[in-house]
Order: sequence, then C-alpha cells, then structure tokens
Amino acid sequence: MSIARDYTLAAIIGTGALIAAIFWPSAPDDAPEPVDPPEEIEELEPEETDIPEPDPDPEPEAEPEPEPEPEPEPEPVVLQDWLGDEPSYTPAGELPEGSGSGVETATVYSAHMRFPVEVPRAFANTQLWRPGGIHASPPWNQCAEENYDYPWFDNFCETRGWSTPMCPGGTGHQGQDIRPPRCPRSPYGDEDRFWAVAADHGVISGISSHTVTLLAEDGTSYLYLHLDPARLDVATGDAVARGERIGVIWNHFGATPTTFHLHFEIRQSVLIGDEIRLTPVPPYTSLIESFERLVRGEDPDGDYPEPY
Amino acid sequence: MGQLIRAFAVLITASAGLTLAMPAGALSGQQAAQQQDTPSPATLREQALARERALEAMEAWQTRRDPSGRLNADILREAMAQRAQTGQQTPGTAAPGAQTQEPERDAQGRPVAPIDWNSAAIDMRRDMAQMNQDTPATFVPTQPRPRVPPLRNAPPSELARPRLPVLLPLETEPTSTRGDEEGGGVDGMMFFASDYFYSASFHRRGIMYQITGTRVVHAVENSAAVADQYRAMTDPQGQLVTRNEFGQELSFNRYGAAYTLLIACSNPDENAECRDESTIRAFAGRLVVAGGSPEGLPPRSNGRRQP
Repeated sequence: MSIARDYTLAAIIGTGALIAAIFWPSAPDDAPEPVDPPEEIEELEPEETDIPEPDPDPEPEAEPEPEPEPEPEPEPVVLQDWLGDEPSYTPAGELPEGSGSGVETATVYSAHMRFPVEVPRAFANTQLWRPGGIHASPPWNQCAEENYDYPWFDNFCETRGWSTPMCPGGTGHQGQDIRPPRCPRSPYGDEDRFWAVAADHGVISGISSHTVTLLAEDGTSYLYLHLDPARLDVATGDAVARGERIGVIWNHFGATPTTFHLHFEIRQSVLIGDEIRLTPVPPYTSLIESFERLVRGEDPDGDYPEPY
Repeated sequence: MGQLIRAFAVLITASAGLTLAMPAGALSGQQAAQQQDTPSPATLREQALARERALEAMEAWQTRRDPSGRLNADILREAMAQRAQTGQQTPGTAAPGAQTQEPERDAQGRPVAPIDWNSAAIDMRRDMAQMNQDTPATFVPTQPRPRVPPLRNAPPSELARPRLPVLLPLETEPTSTRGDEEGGGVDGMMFFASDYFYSASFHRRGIMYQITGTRVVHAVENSAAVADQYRAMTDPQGQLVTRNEFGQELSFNRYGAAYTLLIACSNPDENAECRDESTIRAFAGRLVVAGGSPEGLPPRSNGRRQP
C-alpha cells in the first residue's frame, strides 16, 4: 500500500512539475533586444460594421408639444379701381420711348392732395404718343383700349419746345395728362361725364377758356385744363372745398378740340440755388399717392358715386 | 311849341356834352354794361389810402428790424429737412423778421423766405411820387388815368394782409373781373390775399392776366443742374418767360419773394397778343408795389375759409 501511495504521489508531483515547466513565465532578459527597422505599417481603416452600437439607455421621450398652426400669410390686397381693375404704374420719370426725358424723383410735392378726378379710375399717360395723338401710328382712335388701361405713365417733361427748367433738358410738358375713367363717345350722355374735383381747399383764382386755376390754402396752385366750358361747377372767386366738383373732364382746347383728358399742373414755390421760384413741379408721384388713398378708401374727402 | 323845341335843344346839347366828356372808347357795349357797376370814388380813395398805410408800415418796420431780408438758403434747407423729419405742422415761434437763425414759418409750419422791405419801401415811394408828379402834366382828359384796377371781391384794406410786397399792375385800359365765358364780370380786378401769398386776376380782350406772389417754401430742389438751367434761362432782368398750353408765363424773384405772371387765352397759337412775349413782358413792366406789410393783418373773423 505504501508503495502504491508513493508512486501516486510521485506521479502527481511529476505532472505538476511538468505543467510548471511548460507554463511558467520565463525571466526577463536584461539585454536589449535588437531593434528591427520600423516596418511600414499599413494603417487599417476601421472596419465598418453593420452592428449598431447599443443605444444608451434611452431617456423617456417627452411628449412632443403640438406645433402651433402656422398663421396663414395674409393674402396681398389687390387694389381694385372704380370698375374692378387693378391699377399699376410705371416709375416716375420713365416716359415712353421717344417721348422725352422725365424727372426721376421720389419727391411727393403735394403730399395731402385729393386725387383730382372724382372717381378712383383714371389713366395717366401721353396724349401724343398713343392712338389719337399726332405721334402715334396710326394717329386715330383716341378711344383705343390701350389708352384706357393700366399702367400709368409719367408725361411731365414730355417733349415740347417750352422752357421748363425742372426738366432734364430744360424744356418740356409742364403737367400730367389724365384720361377719364372711360372714353366719352358721341352722342354724349350722362354716363360720359366724369368730374375733376378740387385737389385742396382754396379759391378759384381765375378762369379763362380751357384753363381753371385753384389757389389752395397752402399757397399751391393747381391748374385744370380742357374742362367742358358749358359744364363748369365753379366761377372765379368761388371758395371750394377739397373734393368739390370743378367741372367735367372734356376735350376743350379753344377752337380745336384735343383728346378727352384733364391736363393737371401743380405750381409751388421751390428753393432753387439761393432763391425761391414759383414753378410747375412734377405731379406724377402726388397723383399716385392720392389715387391710392382714394382707392383704399383712406381719403377723408373721398366720396364718389357708384359706377355708372 | 316853342317850349318843346327849347327842351329838345337842351336835351341834344346835354347828350353831346356827356358824350364828349366820356373817355375814348367808352361806348362799347361791354363797357357800357360795366359802367353800371363801376367802383365808387370812395372805394378808389380807400384803395389809395390802403397803399399809403402799407408804405407807412414798411417804413416803420425798417426802424425796428433788419430790413435787408437776406436769404440764408442753408437755414431754409435745414428748416425744410426738419419739417420733413418731424412732420411739423404747427406754426413757428419766430416773430416776423426776427434776427434769429429760426426762420419765420407759415400757419402750416413751412418756412418762409425773408423779405427785403427796405427795397420794397423805396420802390413803393418812388412809384407813388412818380404817379403824383406826372399825372397832372401828362393827363389827357380823353385817356383814362393809370391806376391799379379796383379790387371788386375784397376790401382795399386786404392789400395789407400779405406779408410780402404786393405787386399789381398800373393799367390804363379797362379791365374786367371775369372773362366773356363767365359773362364779363365788372370793372376791376379779383384779389385773393393770404398771410404769406396772394393772387390777383383780371381780363381784357379775351385774355386773362394773373399774378401770384409768395414767400412760402414748399420744396427744395438740390440739383445743381436744375439751378444752372434756371440761371441760364433767366434774362438779365431776372425774368424767365415760357410758353405753355394756355398762353405765356413769366416768373421772377423780387425782394426775396417769388412771383409768377400768367396770361391765358382760348387760342394761344392764333392770338398774337396772347402768344407774343412782348405782352407778358409789358405786363411785368406795369407792376408797382401796391400793398403788403411786414406784420400783415389779424386773422379774419368772418369764419369764411380763405386761401
């Protein structure tokens, strides 16, 4: 028995020694190992893996607040004139090609005037370079559709031989021509009559044939030309209120009729250089502003009849 | 029978005498109609007195204020810019003619140009002396005496309302307040007075004559090109004449105020008197200082809206 035990013990120890001999780590060697030349190491791109990283513990999602309903953008207000058309305007100073050089100004010389046509529909444009005018081709039919349509055109400084120092070339037309809401057609009835009205409170300071002058309370003079002499609503010396009827827009021009239109002038005292001068000033911007006020219903003296 | 013949002879003689006593050309139908509404001698005297009072006011002013009325364009430009920025609509506080940097303003806050009252008074006194001295020597009974047409829509005292020299023409020919298209009106002239501007108009032979004067500054033109054009178009007398759709216009600056004359007629191209520059230049040549005063008149109390 003891011999067997001895052999067993010896076998265990021997096995243990063998295992230790195999797995026991070797002692470090003090001698430095020879340094091999560095090898070029190919950098390995990280491998893409399809395995998604595990999400960190997701925080409990807050209940999303309902987004406020976006306010609908206000639809652009489409202005409508007396008969439902949308007005538009070319810029001040931009005269039709070949008709002269205008005044490119933003100055509104008469900022508070009442639009000088009673109803909010009228057509500012040239009388000479459009059908019915001597420079038009063909030169007939003043009632052509294009004459009674938007956009408006400036015609202050339109080519004339008259000295007008405010104009770029020193000469030109001294007012703005404005056609009535519709072209009157013979035989004329009440539906063909459209009134020019007072641009401001003032007094009728003179009437001569086709010219009516209104001296306003602020010293501005407004000139109305070509009104029907048989249908003037005012007389020299009359005090007039802003918006009050002056006369019917017509074609009166002495012995020879012109086209149906109101020639409208504004005369003011302007500081030019080192002195003031009374002079015709560009009316186009004042007309646009006053027309828009009338169309929007913002003119305090903006009463006018229903379409007829 | 003899009494009847005598009475007839007296009637004929009286008629002939009256005819000779009337001014030449006074028998036209239109003028005969106007004779029915001629201004009374008292009205004419009152108008002459109003002129004298205006002159006294101008001369009295000179002793208290700087009468030179030099315009400082920069101050006016600054005042206009300030008004545009603030939308100032209230009258300024500067007293008329005060020697401050703050310009005088109208009732709506617009700056007004200073006036050379000294020159205006000198011219007015000269014109009045000339009229008084020359009239007796040159007066021809058959020719009307030169006169400022009587105001028919305003009392003569209104000549003193505008705070600028009131230029009006001395006319020898009859004038009418309205044109033929308005029935001809009456003998005289229409006059519209405000504190810082005025206008007057009359008619003769189918032409309307109108003069407007102002001190108000409505706008500023900063373009040097426009200023150059004004200088180039203005003649040595300071007048700028232009044609237009109704006749002629002549504008100028005098005593610091701006004036414009219009003549308007039915057919400018076919009416030589209306078309020719000489007519409006002659109109300008007949102007005299007929009124205006540095301090104007108190506001009207009749409630009527006035220009």
